[in-house]
Amino acid sequence: MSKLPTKMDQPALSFGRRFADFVFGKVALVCTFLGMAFLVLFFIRIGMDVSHWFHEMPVRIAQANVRATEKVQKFDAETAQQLESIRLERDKKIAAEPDKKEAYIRAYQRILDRTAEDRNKTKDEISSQLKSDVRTDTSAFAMFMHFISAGPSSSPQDAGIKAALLSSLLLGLITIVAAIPLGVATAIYLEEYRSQTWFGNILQLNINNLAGVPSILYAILGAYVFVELIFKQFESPAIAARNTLGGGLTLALLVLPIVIVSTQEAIRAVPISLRHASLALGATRLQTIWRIVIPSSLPGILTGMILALSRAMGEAAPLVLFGAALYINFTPTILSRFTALPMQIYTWSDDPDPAFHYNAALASAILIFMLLGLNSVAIFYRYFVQKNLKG
Amino acid sequence: MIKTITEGKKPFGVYKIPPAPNFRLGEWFIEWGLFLSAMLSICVTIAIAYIVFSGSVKFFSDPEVSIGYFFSGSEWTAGFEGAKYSILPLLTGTLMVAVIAALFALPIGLITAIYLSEYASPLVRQIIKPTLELLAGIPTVVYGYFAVYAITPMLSLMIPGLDPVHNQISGGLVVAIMILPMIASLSEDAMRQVPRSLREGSYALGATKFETSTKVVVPAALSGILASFLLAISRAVGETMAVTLACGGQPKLTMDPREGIATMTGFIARIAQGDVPHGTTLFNSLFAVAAVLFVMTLGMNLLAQWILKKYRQVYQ
Repeated sequence: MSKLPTKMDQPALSFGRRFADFVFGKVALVCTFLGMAFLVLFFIRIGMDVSHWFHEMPVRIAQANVRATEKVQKFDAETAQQLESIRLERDKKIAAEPDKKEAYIRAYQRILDRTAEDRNKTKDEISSQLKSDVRTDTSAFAMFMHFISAGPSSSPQDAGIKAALLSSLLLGLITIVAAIPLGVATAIYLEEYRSQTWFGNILQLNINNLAGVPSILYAILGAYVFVELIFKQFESPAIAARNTLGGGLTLALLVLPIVIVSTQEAIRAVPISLRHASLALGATRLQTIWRIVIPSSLPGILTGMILALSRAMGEAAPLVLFGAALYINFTPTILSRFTALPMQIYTWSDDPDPAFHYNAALASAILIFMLLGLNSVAIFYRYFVQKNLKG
Repeated sequence: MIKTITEGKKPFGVYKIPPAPNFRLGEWFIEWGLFLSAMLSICVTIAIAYIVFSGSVKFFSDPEVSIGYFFSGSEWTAGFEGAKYSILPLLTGTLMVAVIAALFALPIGLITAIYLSEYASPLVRQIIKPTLELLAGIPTVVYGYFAVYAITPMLSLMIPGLDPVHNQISGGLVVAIMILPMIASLSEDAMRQVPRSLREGSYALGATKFETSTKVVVPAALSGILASFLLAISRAVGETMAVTLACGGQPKLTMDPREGIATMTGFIARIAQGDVPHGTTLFNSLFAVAAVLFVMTLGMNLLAQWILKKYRQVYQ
């Protein structure tokens, strides 16, 4: 009876090999967490600048308030001085011609009254403007609300992101409305009609390439097609040539590959047996697509939609040729000029005044919060919901 | 047309289905609608190519511009008196940023991918992988802000002679951070495609984990890894806002990474934001730069697709 080994013999490893294995394992761990550490640093930095914003801005608001009240005081002093100089002039004239004293007093009283009235009217205007300029509430919440609801301004403490935020939301909406039907239609055509043919291969190659085309090139495309070719023809006071619709459509072209690829993945995951069953029951190809394929790939389509939306709302480069960096102090509509939140961040970051950098940090934090929220919904869907659907 | 459809002569996809027993006009229309929307993506490519190349033709037909100088000169002084147009300073800027980014991101990204695919426990992977994808969603402008106000001050403590406002190192580093998740995620996907049996064979022959990873898994997934590298570098070349913020806008032919420089994308963005009248040489120069950028990124993307297709090993 031969003796069976009771325990597997470990192969003898030389020290060098064991050492290399050990070192590489540790290096890999460190590298992975180094990358993560960078990102932690990134968030800490943004957070620090946001907290700077909350510390710096009350100071600036107080300074602005002091300046504004000083302005009123200065105006009062000026008024007094003016009235005083008129009185001096009157006294001088009376001293020269004492017999016409009564007439002079009457004439000058009229002048004095009128001047005082004028000055008071101007003062009322100034102080009513002051009332809107002076911000008494410097609590963190009030400042944040002001930041969200105010338009652009040349003083950092008054500037806000209302126009940028609204434009971005509008752009996102236009992008989704345009890109989702086109992207889903293309994906269906590719997967259900032309998946292995030469035309399908060319389409696929083209879409993969489009996904890698730099976004600045889409700016040139969008500016040429939507501004020069289309909206220049309709330019009028109501319709700007570089309008939100053109910007949104440009972004739609940019995110089209994302929508197509994620829809394709979702369609591929639909088991073939479902299609066969549908066709065997006498459904036509379109009925199969509409009632079987699209419903079962809906989570994937939604994921693609969210990813596309977050990409579109985070991109600034495709909008540079639309003059999106301009100060927009009105509420943007579909056919008006527009700006975008990333563009606003870019302009503020490039400003020499450091207080604007804190504005940029706060706007970045808001943008990141929005986009990471969107993305995490999509990723949660992909990792946990879709997995269950596949069974 | 009706005949072809009812006879089902068209090649079908992965699943072959018999043609519908009765022809329906609605279905025919919808198929054409789908076809048209698919054609749109091809039109986009053609339109971009047409616009940048026709603009470049206009640019080069300008008497101020010479093609020879464009590709061999050393100065880009667009917008100044007696402007000289040579792509080389812009191209060097773009390549410097891409190379710095690649130097940092490729090794770290690859090692992260190896760690995630070979070493990490399922729990760690389940946490890190979605995090990586989440990070790909951070807008590039914000990374640019980070480069200017966090990386540059930090680097200027370490590197003497660094330009305190605009420099290439911070631009390269921030692009590296940007493409790192992409490399790690795509390479990890490629490594996960390598079947378990190959790893088990390697272990059975007495290889350590390190040897299995570097001598079996990485070579087996090489096509995917290379493709992810190429896509990442192409992304680094095409990156606009972050690089414009970090590297500034002064075109210079320099190999010193401590200085600021203009990249091709940065130049386009700066010109586009200003109020340059259309049709001038300066405005047309934008198209020539865009054409170079388009050809470069298209070439890299096509190469990546080709590598993926040619060297992909399909395992069962």
